[in-house]
Amino acid sequence: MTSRARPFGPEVMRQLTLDTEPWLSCDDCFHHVDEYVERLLAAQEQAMPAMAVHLRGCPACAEEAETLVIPAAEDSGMDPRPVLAGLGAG
Amino acid sequence: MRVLDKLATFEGRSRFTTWAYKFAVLRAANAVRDRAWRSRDVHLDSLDALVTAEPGPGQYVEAIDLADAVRRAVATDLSPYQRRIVVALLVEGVPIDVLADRLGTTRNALYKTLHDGRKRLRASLTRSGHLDQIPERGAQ
Repeated sequence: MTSRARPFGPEVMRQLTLDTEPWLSCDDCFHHVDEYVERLLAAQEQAMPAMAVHLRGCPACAEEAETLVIPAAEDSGMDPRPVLAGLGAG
Repeated sequence: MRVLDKLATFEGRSRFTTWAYKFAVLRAANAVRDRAWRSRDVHLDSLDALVTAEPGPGQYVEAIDLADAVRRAVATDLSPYQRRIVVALLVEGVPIDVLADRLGTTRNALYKTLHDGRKRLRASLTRSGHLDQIPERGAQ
């Protein structure tokens, strides 16, 4: 069985050429993701720009951050949908 | 339990529950992705995966030129290892943790390779005058 090849369209080109400065590792992203998610829910994410950059450039970390939004929002009594829409999770 | 092992790393910058949830999310996400890719091969020399998508009407020449420029940059301006990782992660959509497991490396190391590869591609496409033509997120 082979991996699935994707059409080389605009989104792939965008991802190939994404500016991912300032640098943040996946480990550092994981270290800060709980704080970042709560800041997103409080509309204070601008205080952590490197996290936003990393999540735009790392689909796996972005998927995990999106997933974390849901229980964090529930604990806060907040609606996760605006944050999820902003992260591109719809 | 994994979270208990990490208790000393809780710094109080979030609710304790949010901090604890992230370990469960990571573990679940890794398990789901591993399961989804368990029976799938990953080919690391898949420049053939760079199949140009059909441009819209009126965009044909420009779109083909841009796609060719990006393909050339991938083929010539990345190291062989960078090319294999960039294509696997971004073109073939292999999850980074699955690829790390297959290659016996770490997610951090692969993301660093991806980061460096993107810098080279941006530099290459800036030199060729194509970088400004890359569509913004959500563009068709």
